[in-house]
Amino acid sequence: MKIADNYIWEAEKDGEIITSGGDLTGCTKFSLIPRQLRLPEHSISGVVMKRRFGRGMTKVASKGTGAQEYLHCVVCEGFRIYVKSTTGEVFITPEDYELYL
Amino acid sequence: MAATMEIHEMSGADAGTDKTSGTIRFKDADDAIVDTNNPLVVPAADTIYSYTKKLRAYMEDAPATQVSNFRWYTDGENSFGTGVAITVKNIGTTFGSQYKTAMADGADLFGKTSGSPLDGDGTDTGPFVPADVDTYVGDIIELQMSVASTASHGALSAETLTFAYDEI
Repeated sequence: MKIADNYIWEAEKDGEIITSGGDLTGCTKFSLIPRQLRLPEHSISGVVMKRRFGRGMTKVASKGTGAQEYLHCVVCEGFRIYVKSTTGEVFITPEDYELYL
Repeated sequence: MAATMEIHEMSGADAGTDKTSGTIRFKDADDAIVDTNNPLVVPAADTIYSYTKKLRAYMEDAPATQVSNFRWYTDGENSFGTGVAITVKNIGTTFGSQYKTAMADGADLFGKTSGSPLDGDGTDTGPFVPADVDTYVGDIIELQMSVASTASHGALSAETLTFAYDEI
């Protein structure tokens, strides 16, 4: 399984579940659902959500760190949430912060 | 399913070797083989240059919608030691012959960090879509190692270069 696919995502909008695209305008809940038992689930609600994306990082001659990493990102009003796909670790940053590992 | 993006060491405009998680070896020969042949030998005076290396992203598996925002960066620390440097530049999408004279207009690779990365899709601009699967996407970046007479003899430990992209 690819690192990115350690999680699947879904969002609730107008009573419907959406699982594709990047626009989260009007969504009331966003969930990252793990496909590995060791990983935690994450859900976001009660905030204004704007968009989502994934960020892949691939390395040559990796030293010490993993050769690949993947972040799931949700951009909300006032902040961002990044979730590391390998561990489920959460990073909360300013809304415009670009996190690279 | 998420995209699979690979890093290829290019030997032609549309030909390369997958070096994802692998090693790019700077040497005194124009090949992508990782061996101890044709090493860069510390000169008695002045500076010598490796043959250039060209890297480009390859879309091995398609994204659901698109990939974009290509970036190349290092940890910002040159651990090769005194007298050893790597220069880098974005050369767009035109593959030129490799050479071992000093690169013109190159920048210090270790000046390219996550906070100030090398843009990887300024010429071949994204977003790249599922129809681009099994093709090279984004720009070619060119790298070259230089070794000055002040460098120490011996093998060097690897440094890490990261390619990042955003995906929907």
